[in-house]
Amino acid sequence: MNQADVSKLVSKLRIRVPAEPRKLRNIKGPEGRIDKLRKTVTGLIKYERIELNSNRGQEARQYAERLISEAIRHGDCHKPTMDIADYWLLEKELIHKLFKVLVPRFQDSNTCYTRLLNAPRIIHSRNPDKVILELKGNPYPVLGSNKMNNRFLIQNVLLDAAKYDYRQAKYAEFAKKIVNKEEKIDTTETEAPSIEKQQSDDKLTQS
Amino acid sequence: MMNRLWKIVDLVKHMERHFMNNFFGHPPKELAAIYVHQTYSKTAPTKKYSLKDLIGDGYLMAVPKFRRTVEKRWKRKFGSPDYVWKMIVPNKNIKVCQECGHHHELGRLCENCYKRIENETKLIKDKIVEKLGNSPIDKEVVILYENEAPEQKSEFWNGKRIVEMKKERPSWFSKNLLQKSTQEPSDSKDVKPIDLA
Amino acid sequence: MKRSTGLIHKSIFCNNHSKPLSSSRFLSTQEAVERRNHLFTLEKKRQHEKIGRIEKIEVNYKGVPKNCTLVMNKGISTPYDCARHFTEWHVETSALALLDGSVYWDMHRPLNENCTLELLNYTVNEPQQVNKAFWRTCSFLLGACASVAFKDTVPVKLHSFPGPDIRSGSFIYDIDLPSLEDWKPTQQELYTLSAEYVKFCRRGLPLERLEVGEELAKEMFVDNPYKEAQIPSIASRHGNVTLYRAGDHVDISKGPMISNTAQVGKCTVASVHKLSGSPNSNVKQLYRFQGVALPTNVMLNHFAFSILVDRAKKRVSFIMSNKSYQIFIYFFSFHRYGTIIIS
Repeated sequence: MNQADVSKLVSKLRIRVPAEPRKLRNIKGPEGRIDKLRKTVTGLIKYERIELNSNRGQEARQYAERLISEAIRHGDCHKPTMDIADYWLLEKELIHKLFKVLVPRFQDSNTCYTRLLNAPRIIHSRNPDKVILELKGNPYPVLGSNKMNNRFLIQNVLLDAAKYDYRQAKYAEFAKKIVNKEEKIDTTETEAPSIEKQQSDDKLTQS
Repeated sequence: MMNRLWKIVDLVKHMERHFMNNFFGHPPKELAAIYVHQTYSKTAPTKKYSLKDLIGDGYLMAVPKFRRTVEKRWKRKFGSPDYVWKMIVPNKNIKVCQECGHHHELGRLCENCYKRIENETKLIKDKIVEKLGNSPIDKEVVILYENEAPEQKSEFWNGKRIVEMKKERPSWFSKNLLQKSTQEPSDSKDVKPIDLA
Repeated sequence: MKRSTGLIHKSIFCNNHSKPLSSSRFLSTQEAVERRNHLFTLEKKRQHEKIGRIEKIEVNYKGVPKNCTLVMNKGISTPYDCARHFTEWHVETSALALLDGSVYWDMHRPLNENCTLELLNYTVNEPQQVNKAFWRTCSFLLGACASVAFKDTVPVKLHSFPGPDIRSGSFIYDIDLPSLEDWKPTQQELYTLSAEYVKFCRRGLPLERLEVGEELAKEMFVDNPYKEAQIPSIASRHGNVTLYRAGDHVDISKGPMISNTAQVGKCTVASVHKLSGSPNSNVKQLYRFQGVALPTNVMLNHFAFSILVDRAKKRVSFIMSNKSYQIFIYFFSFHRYGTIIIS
């Protein structure tokens, strides 16, 4: 049973990673592909929001995510991580940014670090699809705001109330269990359940 | 009555032709020869008819031998709904942007909003590059527009780098980006309905 | 049909001077609905003709795609008409209009003076009032659907519906079914009711508003003793009675309501509970119909919706709390004549 735990060797990305790497057409072959991706990752870290062709953006995103997660995982005193950062970031001042700005920004986040949005296209045009790749928490105006998060929307109000009800029911259940236990221990006490009931009623009225 | 009459007339005609031919015979052959001679001399072809006369120097092309069925013709015209459908169909993946009211494709950003944001982003990007240059970036960048004095205490700005834009903040660019959006309840004293039904 | 309603109408106006129609108490549900609808149409036409010379008002529209000024007809044009000057999206999604930033106005209620206009849909930043209007409309439609759903042999007397309380989880209509003593609907019957509800909503009917005097309102609801009893108290408080119509169903409500029934998307009639009245009142028992609905274009997972439906099955009891106090008062004022005891 000396098998290593994979999750401890490689950091798990929060995005979907396709089974096979995408081929980006290049004269130099695989080496040229990696060069392309290095340029893109560098640009992303530098500008925090870039517009790309769809396939290049989707491919570069995975490398950027991996780079940031490695940086968060190991910190800047880890030699291999430093080498990786040195390899992927063509402009060396960005290594500082990676460890001093992005790591503190993302270390508490529990979602992915980048956002990929489809850019508008001219319908029936033959241009390739474009995407916008950005780091979360950038200083630019927000793209594609989602209005469904508003807690006053009717579905959210209904779900909120349902959640509240569910919790109240659970609390009442717990209270009942505790009371039952107490009863078992001390059978002479009979007033406890009625008090509990009143309390749960009070909670209901507060809603 | 009339039928019978016509029958009799027919019979008489028949009899007449029959008897006339039998008794007097055909018209004399001399007459016929004269007639034939005259006609032949007028229309007799000098040369045999040939396809070459018609074509000349040209050549014949392949032509359809059979008529195309109606199914095939329709399929050419309208396409097949299972493969390539050539008819105009309504596009159902179009949405109205909640922000600006323009139409955009489903699953993509609104073109109007994106253009606006793209321009502003470009300005900010240029400003940041101009300000920070090639120096190592070790602090978060904060954008401040004109007439926006840093409201927070100086400690708040310690860990951050301020980049000032020399223009007014656009109305659609919300200031508190890091906070959860949705507007605060307005101060308007609207008439709250008291008894509802 | 037309002729018969005309006759009814004639007979009403003949009898109006002498005494109220006593025979019309025994109208069948269908006849009563037709008669009420006819009276509504007549009154609407009368009010429209009363306007006379058409005057113009300026409506300052605020919102997408851009702010602009519309010149509309006074007393005729509605916010719905204003929306039609923009796009189909405005027409279909606007639920409520906001005049001068403070007054919530029905989409089908004529504008009377110069004002600023905002069109509210379900995804505005502060949709509380829109939600309330939606919930109220759902209650109203529940009444309409229940009066259609039963067979002719089962008379349906609508009682009233309380104000919208979304957090309670369900909208309500209290209905009296005098011929059904002890009815517990099966699941199949609830499905049927829901199907009727969906069918009614899918018809895409506009919700028209009309304010009428006390007398006419009593005429219209002469077949329904509960409504008839409620009308004087409503009229004394507000001056006149506000009626709403969807299709041929007419009901009393304070409003405002949403623009169109097509804006009701996912909906379910979740449960029917029996309420028993106090022994000394004239109301023996009522059935409380409860349901839950969401606007169209709200994407909600079926599992989440099933949670909402399960919650809507519980009987809503009105407990005196700070929030629902106002609703409670109004609810009781409506029930004054019935004096229903709510346990």
